[in-house]
Amino acid sequence: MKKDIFSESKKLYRLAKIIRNNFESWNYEEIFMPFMEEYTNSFRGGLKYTDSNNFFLIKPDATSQIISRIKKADEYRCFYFNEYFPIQGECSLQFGAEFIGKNPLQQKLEILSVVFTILKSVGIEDFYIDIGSLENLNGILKEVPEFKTKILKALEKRNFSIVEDMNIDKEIKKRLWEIFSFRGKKSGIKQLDQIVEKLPEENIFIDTGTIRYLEYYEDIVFEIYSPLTGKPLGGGGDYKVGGMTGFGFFMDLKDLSKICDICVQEFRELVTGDIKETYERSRELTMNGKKVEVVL
Amino acid sequence: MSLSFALPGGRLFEDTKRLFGEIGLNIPEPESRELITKDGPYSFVYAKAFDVPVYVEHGVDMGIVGGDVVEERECDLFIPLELPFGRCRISVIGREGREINPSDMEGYKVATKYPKIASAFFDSIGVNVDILKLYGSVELGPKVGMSDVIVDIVDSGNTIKANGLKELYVISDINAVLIVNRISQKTKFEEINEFINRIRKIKNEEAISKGLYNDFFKSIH
Repeated sequence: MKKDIFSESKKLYRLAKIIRNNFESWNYEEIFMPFMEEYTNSFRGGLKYTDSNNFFLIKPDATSQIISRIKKADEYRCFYFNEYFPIQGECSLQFGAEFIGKNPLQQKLEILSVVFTILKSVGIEDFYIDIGSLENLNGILKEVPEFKTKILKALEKRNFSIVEDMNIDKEIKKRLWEIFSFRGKKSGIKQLDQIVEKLPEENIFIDTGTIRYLEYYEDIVFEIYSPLTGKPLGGGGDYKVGGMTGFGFFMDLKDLSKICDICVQEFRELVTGDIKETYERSRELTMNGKKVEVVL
Repeated sequence: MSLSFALPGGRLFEDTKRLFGEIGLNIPEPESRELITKDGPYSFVYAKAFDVPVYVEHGVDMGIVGGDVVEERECDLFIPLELPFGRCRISVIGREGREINPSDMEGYKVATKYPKIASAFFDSIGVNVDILKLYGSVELGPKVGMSDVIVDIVDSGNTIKANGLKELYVISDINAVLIVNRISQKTKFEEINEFINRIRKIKNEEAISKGLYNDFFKSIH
């Protein structure tokens, strides 16, 4: 049986409305992504589609679409609601934001602040943000490039046994163990420590094992999660684009809707009576910024 | 802080009980139909093996289950440890006397409790097969002519031998694994890491005593 799209959409619409208000409060503008892109390696994910000898991607990752479209060095604050087709798995409905410019620390603090206010405004108090550093890991991967895939797999599953079984230097294993086993507020990694120092919220941690190894991420990455659900709600990271830096995040709107309880009460003027007069009055009211409900 | 575990029944439960005993953690025997038992801050949820990853993905902190089940269920979990028991293999099994390579099984009917693992294997070698999902006694498939081969767990090999079947190809070796809820790993970081390290220490000491392992772990603890 087909899903009741009206009931599902009602919750998503209310949630999206609150999220949009948050983005607007932070001075972010909504952008609308093309449905389909000509296939190039610069896009992540997307459903592959071919028409004669032309290759396309349907609904690739929004951040990679944004990065590919930056034409001039300027400051950009944007947000989006977008369907995303991963290479494997089901299409998901995501929202996110990007802050592109020339002040990396400001970008990070602001995007993380936006995440905080969004989650709190949709009624989720019980959540955490863990940040990690790819540079910290990349330093090790460069020394043992032949083990890169295995090390990333080990980190993905937090399975240090895989590292223990590798034929690599004992000192490298020790450094990897430190990455696997640190979670706290002060790591000795300057880029991570300064973010946590400047965001006094209790629910932000440095977890050096937090790794989101996407093509465009440069160094700082983060994951958002809540004990209310068994998987991360979303995440983000930093990247370079046209001589500037960017920092952004995404979350899954449907996953978020499952754990938040939104009750929106709004005042609407009830307009009733003769059909012609009712709509005449309704037009007048809505043009003056009032919300109406027409009942005939 | 409390920690919860999802555990399967049978031999894996006995091995788990022994392992937990070695690190001083007592698993109380469930009485008759009891589904949850407690020992101080620890609670134990008894589930069917195939459901253990689902319980862990949706809120139980940790679980122990065969690697085959984790692969089949495709749950989003951390797998920090492979355990020194539950060793077996998942294999393609056919009738005795009709030995054939999997690459020549185009169009075969394959009965299995593991449709995802079986599909992934035959896809990886570019062979089209019909997968028949069964919930148990898959050895019956070839016996009644419903399927040409089966994909199933092989331990001692006695069951397949008793049913006139033969292991034709090993898809992968398997052992029991410790699985951890991704969010618990964060919210109970120290408790879970301490628990994992206690098990790892036992596991490595066993391996070192058998001359199977280097002493790297000792150097970091």
